[in-house]
Amino acid sequence: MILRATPLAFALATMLGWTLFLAVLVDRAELFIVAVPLAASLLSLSRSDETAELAITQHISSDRLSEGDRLTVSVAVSASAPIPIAELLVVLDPLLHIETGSSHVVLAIEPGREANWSFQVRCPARGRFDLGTIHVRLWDRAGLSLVERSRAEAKPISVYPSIERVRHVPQPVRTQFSFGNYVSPALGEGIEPGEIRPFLPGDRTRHINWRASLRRQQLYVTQFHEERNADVVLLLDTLADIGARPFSTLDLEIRAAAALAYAYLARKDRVGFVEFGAFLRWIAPATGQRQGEALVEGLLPAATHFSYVTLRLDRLPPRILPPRALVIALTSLLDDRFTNAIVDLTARGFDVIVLALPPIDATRRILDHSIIDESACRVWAMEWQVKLARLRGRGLTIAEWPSGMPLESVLVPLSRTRPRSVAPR
Amino acid sequence: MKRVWAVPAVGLMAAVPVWTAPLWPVIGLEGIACFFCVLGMLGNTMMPVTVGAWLAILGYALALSLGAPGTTDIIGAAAFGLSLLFLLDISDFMRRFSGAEISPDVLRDQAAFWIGRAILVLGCLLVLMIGGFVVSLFIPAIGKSVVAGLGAIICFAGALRAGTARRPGDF
Repeated sequence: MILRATPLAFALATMLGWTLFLAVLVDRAELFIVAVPLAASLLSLSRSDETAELAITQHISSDRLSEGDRLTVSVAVSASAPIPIAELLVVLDPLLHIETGSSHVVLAIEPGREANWSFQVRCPARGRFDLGTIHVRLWDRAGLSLVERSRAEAKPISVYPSIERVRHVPQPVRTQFSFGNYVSPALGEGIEPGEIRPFLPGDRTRHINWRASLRRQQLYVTQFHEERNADVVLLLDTLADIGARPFSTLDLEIRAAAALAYAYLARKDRVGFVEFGAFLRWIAPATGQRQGEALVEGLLPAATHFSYVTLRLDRLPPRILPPRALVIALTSLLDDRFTNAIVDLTARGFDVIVLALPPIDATRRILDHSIIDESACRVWAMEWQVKLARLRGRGLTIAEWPSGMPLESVLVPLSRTRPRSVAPR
Repeated sequence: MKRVWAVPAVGLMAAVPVWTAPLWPVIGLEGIACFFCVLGMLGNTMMPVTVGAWLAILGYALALSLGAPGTTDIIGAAAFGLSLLFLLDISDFMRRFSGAEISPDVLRDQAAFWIGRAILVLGCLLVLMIGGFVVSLFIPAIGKSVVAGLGAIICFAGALRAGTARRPGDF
């Protein structure tokens, strides 16, 4: 609690001193009369200050939201003694927008009566926020002294990235050993027909291909491909972030990662996540609804942190980047350390798909559209395309996701054809 | 609370000195004072308003010293003092609650407080005038200035003490 005089008290004291000085200087009674209201006003400062006990209750309509959702914050204040002017401010993160009402109010509080106020907040960007800090100023009626207090009680809210529904996702080249939705190159029990070969002892009669057998006058059987699942690792580039939230490149990367994670989990795949930034953070691949929630929780605090350290993905435990995994790298290709890492992964035999978000779109949003800015953006866009072409030349599969396009429209061209190669039995 | 509420106060604060002595230096000073006050009101800052009030008092003192000596204008001085106080109060109120949602109860009670205080100040002035007149009957002419000066010093010291005294909870 801090009790102090206000700028008004000092302004009045200055005026009083100045008036009295001039009154003595010009020897006129009128200036003494002018000084009387100022002096009378200042006298209220000398009164004893009885500070009232405040009780503040805060209620938040929801603590788990999606981007763009709204929540209502209700605050109830009561006091043990009358407070003529109570100024209350709920501290909000700059990312949160007040839609209706105000987080900053001035109330008069009567003892025994609760003063209530509420306001609605829109959460446009993902993240974890705390709405529990309330600053209180209790003013005297004359505005000459105030008591400052602060109440900090944790009221965390989590705003999750909005998840776009994606039906067509890039199919992994290699599958794992558990049952899943992908047609594996390996032959075995399945429903997807593969090659035809002559009948061998031990073959099931239900697999005999009668049409081929009649034509060749010899028994032939149809082989089937197995349906298997895949391991998918989402590699998130947090070395660089450009643009203003909630449309920064990192925000878009996280939305894409969340959408991909849910799309692959719906196909019974195991999905993991690696944050490649100033430090490495990961969630091991797993499957199921719980993994989806774990991944979204893991994506929530992703942010850029400055570092000179060059990370190496080969330091990751093998279970985080399993062999035969599909790695989807989400990046704006701004930091060469990330580019080198994905080239290295490709060289190590991983199936890597790069989802590249042009940083130019995010930058354009925060620029005033002057000719110089526009020219610079065009040159930058050309340089970026050259970089993409160079990486494609090194064998990387790259999908460019321009701002405003649905994610699925970018992913559809990456849908791969059914594997035709037959593994030796 | 609207800025418009301060317009009559600024107008009265400038009008009293000009009415006392309608001279170019006074008009110029009061014009500058008004400019600073309006600047402070628009920018929700206290400093220009304080500077404007400071200049207005200087202009009033100039008007009193340059104007024709005569009877003491009690009503004009009281109006000037009250307008000055109201101007400082309203500009500070706007500054400190800028951007906040103010409950109608607070506005109503505050307006009532300001009106009540103005009446109290007028009562104090009346008592002082009568008291001063009675005291002047018993004090010789040479001692009047000394008593007035002592009163001014005591008043200023009291106000300063009230403004700077430490209370429990102060740092």
